[in-house]
Amino acid sequence: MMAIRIPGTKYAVKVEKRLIVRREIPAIVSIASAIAGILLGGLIFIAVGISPIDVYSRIGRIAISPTALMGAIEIALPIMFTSMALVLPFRMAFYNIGGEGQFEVGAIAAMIPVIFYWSGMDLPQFLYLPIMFMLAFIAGGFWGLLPAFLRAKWRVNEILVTLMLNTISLQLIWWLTTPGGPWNEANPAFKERYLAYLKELGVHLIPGFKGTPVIPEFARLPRIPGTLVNSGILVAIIIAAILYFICTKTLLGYEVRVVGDSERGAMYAGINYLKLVLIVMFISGGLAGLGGFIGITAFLPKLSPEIGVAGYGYAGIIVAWLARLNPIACLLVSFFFGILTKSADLLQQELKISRFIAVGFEGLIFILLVLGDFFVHYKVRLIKVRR
Amino acid sequence: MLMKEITKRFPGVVALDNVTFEVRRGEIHGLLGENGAGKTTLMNILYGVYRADEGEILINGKRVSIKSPKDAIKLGIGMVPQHFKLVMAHSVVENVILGLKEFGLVLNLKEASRKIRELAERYGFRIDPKAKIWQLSMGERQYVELLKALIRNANILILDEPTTVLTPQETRELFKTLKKMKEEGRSIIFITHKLEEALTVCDRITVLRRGHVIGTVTPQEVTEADLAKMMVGREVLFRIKREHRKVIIETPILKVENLNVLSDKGVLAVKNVSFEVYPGEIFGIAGIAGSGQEELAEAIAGLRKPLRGKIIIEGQDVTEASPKKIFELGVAYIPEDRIGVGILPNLTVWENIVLRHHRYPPMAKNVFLLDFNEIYGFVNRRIKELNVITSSIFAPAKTLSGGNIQRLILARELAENPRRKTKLIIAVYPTRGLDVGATEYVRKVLLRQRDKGIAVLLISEDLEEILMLSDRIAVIHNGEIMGIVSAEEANIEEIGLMMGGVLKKTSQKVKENPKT
Repeated sequence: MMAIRIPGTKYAVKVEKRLIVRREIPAIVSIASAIAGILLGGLIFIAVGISPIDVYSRIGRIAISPTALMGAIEIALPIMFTSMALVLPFRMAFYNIGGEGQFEVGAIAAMIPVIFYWSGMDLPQFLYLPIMFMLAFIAGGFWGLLPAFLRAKWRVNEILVTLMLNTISLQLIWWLTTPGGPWNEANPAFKERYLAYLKELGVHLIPGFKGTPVIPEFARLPRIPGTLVNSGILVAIIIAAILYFICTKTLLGYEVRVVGDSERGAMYAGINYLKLVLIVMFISGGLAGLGGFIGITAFLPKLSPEIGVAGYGYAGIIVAWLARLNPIACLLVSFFFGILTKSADLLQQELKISRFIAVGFEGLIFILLVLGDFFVHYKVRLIKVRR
Repeated sequence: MLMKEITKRFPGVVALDNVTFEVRRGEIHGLLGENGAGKTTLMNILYGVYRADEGEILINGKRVSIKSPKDAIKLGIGMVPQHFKLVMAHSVVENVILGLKEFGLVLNLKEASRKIRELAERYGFRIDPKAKIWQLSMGERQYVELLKALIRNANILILDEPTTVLTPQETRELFKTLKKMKEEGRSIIFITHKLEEALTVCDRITVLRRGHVIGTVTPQEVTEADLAKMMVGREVLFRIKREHRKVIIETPILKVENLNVLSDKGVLAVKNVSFEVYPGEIFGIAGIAGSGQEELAEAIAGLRKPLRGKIIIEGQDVTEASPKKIFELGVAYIPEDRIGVGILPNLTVWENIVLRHHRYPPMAKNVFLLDFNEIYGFVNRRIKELNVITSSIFAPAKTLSGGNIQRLILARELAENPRRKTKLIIAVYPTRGLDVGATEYVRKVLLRQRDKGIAVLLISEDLEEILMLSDRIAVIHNGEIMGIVSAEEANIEEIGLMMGGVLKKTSQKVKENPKT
């Protein structure tokens, strides 16, 4: 509610709060923010002596090049899960910053049958994927239950607990996979079967490498036949649809909204906060854990501290927020995130742009999108000053 | 002081339209109007919180520009806000001199205390400068706010609904203080919606309605009814017609036995309270705000676990029951904090009305799925029955006016189904902050429910309201019931003394009274 007069004119700029935000406004604002980012980015490219036209035409080509798009989806896929995981808890104002940890724990749990396999213990091959799937979900879910329980019982701040749990899970991966660690590929327990497998592939074991043995082909998520796209994307789409349904049509989604708007109001309405937060965080941790499972089976394909370094869990926070906690929008924003990251990679390689400029450009676009939120809630008008 | 042709627009509304408001030196000027009439906006402009889009302010004939409360204070304008802005853990003197420079970098508290005592003496009230705010009654806190303005040499004092938190006796004391200030040549702007007070204490009264000045009158020219008509724009029924009921003492709906409840701070807020509420009566609890009424109501509604004692609803011990269980027994709860507890401000009207009903069939098909056909039908029926005015059931609840928000809460709480019949209504300050029209409506709803045989527990700080509606009245002071009287023999003087903790009726008398 303020008006600032533009010196020397009869006009003033007035900022007003929008009482009701119409549905299309967030989309319009997001697009405008992205355009502003592209323009501002152009200035930066000019400043460092690169032709922005060259840069943007290359990015444009990425967006229509099938292989680059596949790469973008590859980056986006784990983020789709870590962002969708936050839809329910954030809607109930439970700030789960632990997507990263739940993601990592999911990845660790999914590796368990693989480790047994290389140690010489077999299961029927068709069972591996479903078991890994379940283990990842359950492990991530349990990792999410702890902060939920602490918060509901003793009002322990969930942001701190989830953040600390992230550190623990990453340390767990380091410990498991570091040379000499129990899951490191050089562990003598894997010697027989794993060395034979590597020999077949014509690869040698490099000593001192951090990481588990690779996941055998039958335990990896397959590509969608005829494409280069990993079938994890189908899982993501199904989950987005289920989440959307939960948010709009079910008792659970309704109660989550109630708690999110007023915790006291929810208590007064007789909503059992403990029960609700446990359910929501089990789902949330589970989805992030699934992201971990897909992250390792589809791409790396093994467990190594690299999956923690990539920061998929934290990227999920930004994406979920930009998607305004809409699960379907999470898919789209993740994809956009993937394209940007892929572009930054390619710009580095092709134009020899410094990594800092490329990543900085990516950051710029996101900062502008976040700033754009102001315009979703406020309206800026030019008014004539009467005197 | 003159505010001339003030216009203020907010998005979508003109809050003040060409308002001219003049206060003379040495007068108490009442500012009267319904909620949303623009009283607070006008005062916020004078105090520098908002700036007028058009118009000007003159003080002593000189044009002034007030850009912030700092400017206002410099010009000698002081404000006693409706909700006190005091630091609870600090002492009186620390609060009063907060922000003042003349007591030095290392505070000269002695000098400041002396000044406070001097001021208090001059205006005929007593206050201990060393007392911590949390130890003070609401009336005393008001004096602290007043001192804050006085020590800054305020010549124009704005008091925003100052009597809401006071007993009748305290109100009279305050009026004496105000008159002394007036005699010294200070000007006082007295915002209120209590017509009687405006007529007693003010020299002139300006009535606002929907951002327009309806008129400025003197108390000699008008009656309460005239003022009400000016405020609302139509005739208002002052006394809702009702006969006091003979309460039929049979099985009580609600029985409270030796109840002790802690407040959020861990202090005993309700002390050994016992009473019974019977079907078809309105049982009023009078007392100044903050005497333990809120904690008592929360305990009965299941929101606060009692320390000791028993709560029995229709023979069932519900002392440890959950809010959900108590709701299912047929208890409707109209909470004190309408926005924070009563509604979910950002959720839609339908989401607010189906709340608490949403987990039962037919709203829920099973534990997982909601039935939207049923829900929308239910919501539309409830809206129609309680006259909730809203642009759509998909509008956020916070866009509704205060009166409509209260109707929305009533629509939800009074909804019945074959498995749940309303038996008891707990209404906590049900008309606080509502305009005359909405107040009248809420009171009528409560009376209608009583006539249907429902028991009503009415908690209010508005003594007039308690006397108007209740069949029996309990008076609470500092967490204790000071006495229970029937409405016929209620005596406003006596109730006032009980509210102030001066008089306590013996427990014998308490037992006698219900039978009369």
